[in-house]
Amino acid sequence: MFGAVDSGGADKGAPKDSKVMLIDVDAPELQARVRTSAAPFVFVNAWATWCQPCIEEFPELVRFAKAHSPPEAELLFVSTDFASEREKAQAFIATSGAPLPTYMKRGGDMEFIDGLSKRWSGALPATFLFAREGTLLELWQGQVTFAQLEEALARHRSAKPKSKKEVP
Amino acid sequence: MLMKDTEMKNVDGTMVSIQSAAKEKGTLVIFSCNHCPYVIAWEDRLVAMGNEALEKGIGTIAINSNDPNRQSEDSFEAMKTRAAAKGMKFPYVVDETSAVARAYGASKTPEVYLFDAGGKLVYHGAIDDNAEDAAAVKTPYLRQAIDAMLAGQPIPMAETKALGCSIKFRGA
Repeated sequence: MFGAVDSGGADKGAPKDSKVMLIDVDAPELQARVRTSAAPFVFVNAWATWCQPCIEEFPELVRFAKAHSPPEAELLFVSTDFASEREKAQAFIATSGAPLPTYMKRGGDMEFIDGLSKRWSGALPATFLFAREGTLLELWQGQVTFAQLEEALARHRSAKPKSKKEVP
Repeated sequence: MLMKDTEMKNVDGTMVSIQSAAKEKGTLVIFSCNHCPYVIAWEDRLVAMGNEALEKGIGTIAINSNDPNRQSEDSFEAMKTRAAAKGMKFPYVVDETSAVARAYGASKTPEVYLFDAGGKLVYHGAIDDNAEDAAAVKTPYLRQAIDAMLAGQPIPMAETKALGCSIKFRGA
């Protein structure tokens, strides 16, 4: 389903033109998107146009997303803006250079927060690193840098085959 | 318990601790600030509830733990203006080293902690389930917790979450 969205917007809720930048997702849909990624490591950044540190860190994340695209890794941006601020979020994404599509939170805060991780307090910005299987590998609450993401990706990439061997 | 005796400067110039703000029925501790749009979205509801809690014998205190060097709207001067403009009847104080927020484990604004008369934490979390639209609130988490606490009933939802602005902690 999400593959179809990527290749032309076949998703029911999304208009079918290339200007689609925000696809509505709830937490289970976002988790499903992680599990069907073409990459083994999926970063998810929760942001909002009103969140100043989110806007400050955004270029770092875009740079990271461009440097590590699938099948190596993937970074998904999820706007948590109020539904009434959708156009503002869309305008921001349009000039941000973020790989499209990006996503937008649907539904209540608490379901969304706990649905991504019980460890997340709801503070913005928040960046998650999931293994494609759905395991949460890292959670940053607050601003992150390109270097921090690089370090985490390198560490988990080298840890992965090793941990498999260690499993009896 | 948690940094209750730490004195913090109130917008009226006096020094206030959480302990001195506590009242006979309990204490409501609100981590807040000026700049955060989520605080602003909830502010009228939050101030009304804080004022009401105070009238019901629950000591209420709002704490700004943000570093104003990182967010100039969160300066002490701006706090004074905001407290007056919003009609806060409870203290709005500066957590000068962010130590109180750290001790509480608070991570964002707004974030509230409700303690009963015995100082036991009975509720932690959000104001209600819809920051954007007061008219669309389905569960008024904090009001529900206050009412239950005052009635001596179990709190229906003792822990809730909402989005918010990460606290801009001051350097240790």
